[in-house]
Amino acid sequence: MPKVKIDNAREGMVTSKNVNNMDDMLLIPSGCELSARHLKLLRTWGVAEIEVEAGEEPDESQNPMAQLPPEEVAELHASLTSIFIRYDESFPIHKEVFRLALLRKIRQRLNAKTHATNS
Amino acid sequence: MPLTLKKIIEGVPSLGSYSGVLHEIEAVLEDPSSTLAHVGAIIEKDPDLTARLLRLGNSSFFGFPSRIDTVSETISLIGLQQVQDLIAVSSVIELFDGVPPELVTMESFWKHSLACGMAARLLALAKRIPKPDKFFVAGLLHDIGRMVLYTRAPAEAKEIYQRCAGGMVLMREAEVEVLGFDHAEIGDALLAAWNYPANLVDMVRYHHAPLSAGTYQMESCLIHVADYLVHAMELGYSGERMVPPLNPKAWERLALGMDVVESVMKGVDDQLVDVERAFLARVATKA
Repeated sequence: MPKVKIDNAREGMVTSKNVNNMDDMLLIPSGCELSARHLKLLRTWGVAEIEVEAGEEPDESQNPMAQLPPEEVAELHASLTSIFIRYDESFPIHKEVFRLALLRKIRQRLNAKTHATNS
Repeated sequence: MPLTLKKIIEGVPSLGSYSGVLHEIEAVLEDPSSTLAHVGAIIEKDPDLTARLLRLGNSSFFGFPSRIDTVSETISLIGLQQVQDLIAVSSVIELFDGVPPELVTMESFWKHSLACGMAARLLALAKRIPKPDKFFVAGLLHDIGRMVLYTRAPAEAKEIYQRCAGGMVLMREAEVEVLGFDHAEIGDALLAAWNYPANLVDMVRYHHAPLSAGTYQMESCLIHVADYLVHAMELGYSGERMVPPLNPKAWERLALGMDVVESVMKGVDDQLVDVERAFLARVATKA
């Protein structure tokens, strides 16, 4: 059965194996359809990955970077660059944190837009 | 006369409004016949503290699968030491009053601190360190020296702000220029004066220079990384506008996979609202 990282796990996926925490306490039994509450619980307990039924791997095409106009991405990128003092992209950890911080800003901007259109 | 470390922490009260509760708990614990219900009864005399503990116990921070309705249940689930720590930390949050609002607001300062505590706890969970909650306390207190600076030396704090205005100087460097020491050293002096345990004092003292720490180097590295992540996420504001540079060796020292970074950031985003509500309700109403 495919393993998925917790960040790629989505509501509606079905577990194919019991999910236990580090103390081996059962959190979610096998065959359970994941809800938003389950996903939160798994993150809280620090579970890194789970096994789910085949054919339910996540769709990676949902790239937030592609959903925002390039000039807005550039604006967010510039604002982050201005606060990352003494940033050195030759260090993988610097690069990864910057990348994730940028993605997070982009998601926040996209969410704000969705809210604006819905209200 | 120049301001010294000793002078700056003089006059900071030693404990906040919950010190009475903590002393009562300690007294009860000295009695071998005491039970968790006795401890629960002491806490329940304070309705505000009770509400806060239950809110936290039922939040995504702990993520217990079922509802917690009483203080005794909370104590048995999260542990007595942890409950005492949370009470102590709550009292520290309310200890500092009268910070000039042009320096920092209480809400944004403690938001940064809470987020750092959460990130530290999640890193400790990912590293499977026993008792991860002590990292929450350390993260929460890592910038406590700045609170002392703002309340005890606001004029110096304003000068430090001016030196940072250009965006090239880190606040900690300006602190050393103006005072001769930085907020991490103030935090160290304060927590040592409060008789906090050595690991906690060191985590605060070395959160910007974790590789200089002795016995608690790995712990200090963990707080250093947590602080970096929270700065990168721009959560709250402690006075430093920049993301203080991460020492990559501190990250290596933790020996964690790169995927942990994303899950910690997501975890902080998930839990922050709940935790803020539990800790900052009173701070917000005061403002």
